[in-house]
Amino acid sequence: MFFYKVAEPNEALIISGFRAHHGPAGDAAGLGFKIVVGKGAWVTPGLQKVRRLSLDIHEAELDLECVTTQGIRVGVKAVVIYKIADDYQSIANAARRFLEQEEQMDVKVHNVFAGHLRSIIGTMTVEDLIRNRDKLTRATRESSASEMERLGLTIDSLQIQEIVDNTGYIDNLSMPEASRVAMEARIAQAAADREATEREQEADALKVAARSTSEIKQAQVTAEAQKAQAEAQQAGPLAAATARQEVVVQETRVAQL
Amino acid sequence: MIGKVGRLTGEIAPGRMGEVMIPIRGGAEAYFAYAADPDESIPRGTRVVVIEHDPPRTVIVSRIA
Repeated sequence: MFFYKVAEPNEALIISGFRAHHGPAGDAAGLGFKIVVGKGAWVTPGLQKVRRLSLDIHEAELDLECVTTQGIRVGVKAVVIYKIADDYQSIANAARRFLEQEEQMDVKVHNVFAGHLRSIIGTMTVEDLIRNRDKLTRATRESSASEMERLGLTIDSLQIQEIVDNTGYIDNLSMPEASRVAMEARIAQAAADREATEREQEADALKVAARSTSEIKQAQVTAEAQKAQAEAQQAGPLAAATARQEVVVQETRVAQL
Repeated sequence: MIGKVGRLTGEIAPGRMGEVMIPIRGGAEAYFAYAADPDESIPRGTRVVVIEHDPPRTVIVSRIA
């Protein structure tokens, strides 16, 4: 009596029992069970036992109070995306630890990673945490590599979603830059104001000068006009006087004769 | 595994561990990578060849000249 069991693309069959003591392609001698990935296997019920280990991606959410290398206390919310690695050694390691208790895997990895994240953040500054993703991934890799290998897991991603800072450190980080920008804005405003006033005063001075020039010219013209008018007004009497003088001269001349 | 060529996704500093993406099992998987020469530093994006496999997830790599 046989059953043919087939593994889904995202799972491994773990077969133990009768004649299952050799690993795949003989590369895990003394494994104690058989791992089948991506194909099927004949299973004898009663003599052999088959269980399925899902190779799906898992996610553990962390929400921790950590201390950075400067001694600043920050609350960190992070997500670790991990899965059971696809090579046979990792599957064997994970199968020995997590088989049929996969729902507990998240809890266990959560606990392991809480410690790692604390020590990772302990080696970093708040500035690094905000800006230096490379350093974070490197620190994650270095601190958790051996432990993850032991559990047969591989970390696809560690994302920090939120940094809660109760000491006001991050706000203070932005203060110098914000103050500098505010200062520059005030300087620019003052300079613009000064220049505008200068130009206004220049324009006023030019206006006054133009007005006075124009008034002088007007006065000159008026004076000339009045002079001409006065001359014109005196032209009649002057002509009369000249004529009378001429008469007197002639009369005198006549009297001398 | 040995002889496979991949690209570094995490820099290897002297004596430190990096990360390499290796095409394997029809997909690509990230492996922890050490440089063959412990004093060497290999920047991210360099193509490297696997010269040793240290199961399960660690490889020793060397820069492709």
